[in-house]
Amino acid sequence: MTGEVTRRLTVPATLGHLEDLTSMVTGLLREQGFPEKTIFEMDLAVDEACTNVIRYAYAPGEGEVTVECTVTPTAATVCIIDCGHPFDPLAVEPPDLSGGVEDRPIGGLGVHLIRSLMDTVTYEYTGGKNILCMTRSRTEGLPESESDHL
Amino acid sequence: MSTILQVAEERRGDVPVLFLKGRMDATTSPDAEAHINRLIDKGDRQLVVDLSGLEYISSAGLRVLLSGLKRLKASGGAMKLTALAPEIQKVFDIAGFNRLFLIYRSLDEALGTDTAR
Repeated sequence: MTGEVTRRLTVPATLGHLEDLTSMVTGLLREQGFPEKTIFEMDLAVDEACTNVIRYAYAPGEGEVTVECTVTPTAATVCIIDCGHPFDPLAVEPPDLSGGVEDRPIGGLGVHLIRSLMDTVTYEYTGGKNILCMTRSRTEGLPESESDHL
Repeated sequence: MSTILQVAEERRGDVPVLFLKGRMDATTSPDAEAHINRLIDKGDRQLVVDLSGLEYISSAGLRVLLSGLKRLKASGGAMKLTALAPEIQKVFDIAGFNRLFLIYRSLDEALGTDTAR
């Protein structure tokens, strides 16, 4: 594969459109030959980011969400764009995972999953838009013990 | 690839087993939540959830499992999960859920194990 491919989709920010957004990304990654494991993780990150927008960005009103996916030979970048309330998900404190069942809050894991699964995540608020961009390399690097032998 | 969640229920002796198949996200998880809550409301305290058919789980799905576990633990019960695919297991690891749930490799293993603890 050479060059870059970009696909973009804008839909009303409702749960009914969540699958359209994630399928657009997973479909493109599959066409571009990404490994299923990477596709799963990208799917999850896009799902979490879009679900946040759908639930909170425009509450109590309505609006749209745009997902833009760019694939290069080595990586995929997905940007989630909305015109809702300014919200920086990267400013959210990481959840405390140390407690027992009783202490664990319900929720707060979405951003943690995004950060854990993606290589880089950036956020900016510009021109009245929240823009969250997440990049994941096509494949994971080999563990050091294995790469030493290469 | 499945984009829905199928929820099936079966009794093995006294223990209800819930089979979740497909995709557990913000759209589909309420179905699973309704099933789990109904079993707990009916008085079941031991619940086994078979995840062998689960292809995908997001934080919305994790939330449903955790709230079910919280309800069960609060009344002295337990929830066992079985047969997590590697991708699902990774999500559990990142969320720290492997420390909260009893996780078994197979349904037989889950059903054959003492739940007294």
